[in-house]
Amino acid sequence: MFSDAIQMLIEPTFSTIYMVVGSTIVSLLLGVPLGILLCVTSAGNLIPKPMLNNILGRVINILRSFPFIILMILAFPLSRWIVGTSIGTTAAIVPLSVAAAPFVARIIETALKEVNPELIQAAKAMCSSNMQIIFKAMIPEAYPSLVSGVTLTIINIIGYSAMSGAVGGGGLGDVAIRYGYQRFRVDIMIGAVFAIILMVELTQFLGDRIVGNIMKKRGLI
Amino acid sequence: MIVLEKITKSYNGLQVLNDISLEIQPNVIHGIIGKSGAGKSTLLRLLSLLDAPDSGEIFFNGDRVDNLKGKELLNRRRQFGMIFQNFNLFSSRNVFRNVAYPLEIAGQDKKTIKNRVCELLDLVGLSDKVDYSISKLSGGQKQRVAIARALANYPKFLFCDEATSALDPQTTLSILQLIKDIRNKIGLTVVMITHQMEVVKETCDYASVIDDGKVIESDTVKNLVGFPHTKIAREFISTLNPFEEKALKKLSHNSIKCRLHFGSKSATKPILSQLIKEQQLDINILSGSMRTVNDEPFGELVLEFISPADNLDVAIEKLESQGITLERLDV
Repeated sequence: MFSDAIQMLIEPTFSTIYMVVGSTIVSLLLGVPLGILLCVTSAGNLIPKPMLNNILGRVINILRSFPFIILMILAFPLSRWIVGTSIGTTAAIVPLSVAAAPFVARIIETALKEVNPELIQAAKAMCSSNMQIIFKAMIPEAYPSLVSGVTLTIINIIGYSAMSGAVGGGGLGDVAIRYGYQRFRVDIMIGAVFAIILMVELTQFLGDRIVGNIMKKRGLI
Repeated sequence: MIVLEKITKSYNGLQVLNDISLEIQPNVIHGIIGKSGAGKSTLLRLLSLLDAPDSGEIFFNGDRVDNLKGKELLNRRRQFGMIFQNFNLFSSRNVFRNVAYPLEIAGQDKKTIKNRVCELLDLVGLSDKVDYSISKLSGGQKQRVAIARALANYPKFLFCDEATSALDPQTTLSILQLIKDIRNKIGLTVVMITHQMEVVKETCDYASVIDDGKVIESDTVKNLVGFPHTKIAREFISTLNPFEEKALKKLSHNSIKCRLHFGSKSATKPILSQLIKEQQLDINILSGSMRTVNDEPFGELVLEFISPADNLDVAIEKLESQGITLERLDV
């Protein structure tokens, strides 16, 4: 029976990994430019644009206040429009990305704001263009915080992806609800939870490892 | 030559620079000294064209520069190098890549960058630290990297913003010496913003004292230290150690020189005059000063004893018994 449970978990595990990887990529593609924009347009930063910054901040806050379960249902039409369906793992990438992108934006913003303003001034004094300051100075300087932020994002997405199983997203969450909860298959429930825990731990471990390596290379630890 | 004419600048309604006129000669090290809040850093921001004055004009070699925009401004700024109090090096880059940064952003090719960086690290004496990470360097070494970086694009002007304020006195002297050497070697106009008179005295040819957004005195350092006209200038000069040991070398070699440190108790007693009477000593006072530390008076006196040596031993014993620390200055 136990090997049967493992058999049943293999495919959903890969679905979850597919969902998480896909959503991470899409949310980074959306969130990173937004985060950079949020940081550099803030007062006293590289290109102060208080108006734009304010509007952007508000929109991101609104998106972040939606409970994920509601956002998922609201995103059905969007999924249908982009992917062609609102059911399945590929379709689930849409709401997951929409939910994670504002989070990514804030995390990137915070990480970039940690860069010493004097350093940015120095880069400016050396005749760097704004793009050069962002990509050659700010992002490399903030690299450890950025990696920590991405780790946190992936872990969040893993959690959300389990939830999206409840509304037809597939993956481990789906199996845990359909078999574990509705058909009282405790072994499958435990197996699914265990697989999710494993993914979170692995992500955290790898993230910490990368940050550690960067810090070591910079002689900071 | 840099000329500033009637520069004013205010931030948020606060008048920071108030009618500054200044001339900086080519190939000199020009110190700008002032207390914090005097407007030094603002002046440097204007000089380095990071900010424009509210009114007044700035000329570099006769060209007006304060109203430049876009590409012209950038090209002008490429002639400047800048170093800072906190070095402002990139922790994400090692020594080599920090120095390479200005060359990279100027679009130089890899081979040019490599040659230039090696040349610069050689100039500042860090050839053996090429691939070190910044955090592994001492403060002095960091400032050397910063100097190499500032010089990467062959600047005509080097601006130093409190460049030695975060360094210990010994390292400060070595950095100042390096800046002097570089100036002599490659020909460079250096503007040094500082609040330390020591820095001005050690390095600069000319100095301007600024206070309350105005230049209150500007002259060669020799004239400034010798004949200060304003109270602020005198205050700065008094911060210098009043006594320089190398001055002793100019005196006779037969006498014995001592530095006496008076604690708060002995500072108020007429110990010396008693000693002169009792021991029949001939004493020449070379230098003296009084300071307060935590509101207690402390004195320092440099004396030249012209008496025979046997009298002197008794005298030294006597002084030490009164709680005076005695330091032989043998030159």
